[in-house]
Amino acid sequence: MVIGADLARKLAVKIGGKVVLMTQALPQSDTEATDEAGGEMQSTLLRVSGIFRTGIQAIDAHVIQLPLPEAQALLGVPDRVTQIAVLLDQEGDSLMVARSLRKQLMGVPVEILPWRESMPTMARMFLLDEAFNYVMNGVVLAMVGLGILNTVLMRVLERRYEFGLCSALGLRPVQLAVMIIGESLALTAISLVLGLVLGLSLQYYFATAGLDLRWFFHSSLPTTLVFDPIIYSRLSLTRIASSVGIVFLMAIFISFYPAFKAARTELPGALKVF
Amino acid sequence: MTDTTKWAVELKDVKKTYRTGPIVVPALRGVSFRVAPGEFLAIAGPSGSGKTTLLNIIGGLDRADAGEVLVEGNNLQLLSPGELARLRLQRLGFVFQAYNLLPVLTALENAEFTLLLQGVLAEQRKERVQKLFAEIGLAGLEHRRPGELSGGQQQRVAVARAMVTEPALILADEPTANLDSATATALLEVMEQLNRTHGTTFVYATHDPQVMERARRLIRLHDGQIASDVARAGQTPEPWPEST
Repeated sequence: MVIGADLARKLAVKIGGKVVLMTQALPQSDTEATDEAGGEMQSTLLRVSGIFRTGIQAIDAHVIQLPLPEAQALLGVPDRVTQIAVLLDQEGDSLMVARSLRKQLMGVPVEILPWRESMPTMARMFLLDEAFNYVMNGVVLAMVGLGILNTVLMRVLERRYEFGLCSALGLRPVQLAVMIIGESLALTAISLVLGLVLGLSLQYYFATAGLDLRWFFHSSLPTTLVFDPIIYSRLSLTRIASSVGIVFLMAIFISFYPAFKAARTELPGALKVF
Repeated sequence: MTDTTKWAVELKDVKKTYRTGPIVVPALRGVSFRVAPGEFLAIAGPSGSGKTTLLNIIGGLDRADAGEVLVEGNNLQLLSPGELARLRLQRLGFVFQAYNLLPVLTALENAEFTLLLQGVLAEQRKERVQKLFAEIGLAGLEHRRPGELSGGQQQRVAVARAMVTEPALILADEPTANLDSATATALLEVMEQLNRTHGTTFVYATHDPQVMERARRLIRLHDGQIASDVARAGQTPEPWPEST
């Protein structure tokens, strides 16, 4: 038996120690299932073979793991299981695997559910998290857009004299506008390179070392969900490419107004030197 | 019918008024004159007489409220901002009263800027600017920024920028205002030489008696109107066209 560290401490047992586990056996038949009392009380003596610590107090204090035959014997249901969890490498494969299993196990009295159906609460949490991510991305992109607009517009407004002079010397308005858009794209490209270097470095750290949620939650993580408290980040090329593309398109779009403003620099007023 | 292309500049009853809120300042009140190619012309007059406004209008930097402004036959009132810019780049040179150099560029880069806009290769640009710098006493100052130059030196860089493209018409607003007498003379000689050898037309707005003396034609402005138009050295000023 493997036991949570907090529970082990509470029971004052160590590895190799003995624990008596007592439970009510499951009903054996439909008739028995109507009996409110259920099956008879069962107990068994188990030896602690391991102690685990997740850092999540609710798990460490309440969860034990038994070998399947021991659990079946204790619950009085030999050769029966209530649930089989299939772990996949790719979360996205779950629907396909569920469909395939349904086809293979047709006629067998089992219910096959992808994780999103078997754990709807968690699935909803994921959806919520995804929606929140979209909102956050939107806010970040809006901030990036405002940053670009502010930078480009300021660069245009503070160089009114230079643009006026260039125009007076023969630079055409369309050339000025193209120059501003080009400048904006060059600034965006440099910023993107710096941002990618910084961002990918952080990503590498969190992809290898991970983010330990215990720093933030300690014992208050939800007890209904058992997951690794260290979260490893994962970033796809598609995500990077789409973000870079969106920022570039935004930079072009946002530069139009400053470019238009630069192209409309009024002469001879802009040539005044104060 | 007048062949307009034979004139470097032709102004017909040009009017310009500036308005700042309720204040109305008439800068030009019906100015008409013609400038033949190769003229060396000075426009003189007290401050506020409209000299700079006139130069700005001839150079397409400002638009007249009324009248016609033709530069080499191009009616500036009908040209788009892009066409005006192209005309300035290809045919005109400016020497501004406040030098108007780009502070982030060196003297050489400032002087070659118009050549750069014209698409002249770097080596040729450098060669032409350095030759001109040597003529107007700027040799050795090529890599200084405007902030590191005296007023006179900045003025000469501005003159070099206007002259280096060898334009058909150079408009110079007080080009000798910040120069000592010797430098001003040297600069005027270079300009005269360009005028003689290339037939470049020069139109100055000036207070400087030396410029007025050297000019072969002198137009005096007063309160936005031509007070006198006098030719020298045997030149006859072109008759003013009829006001429209």
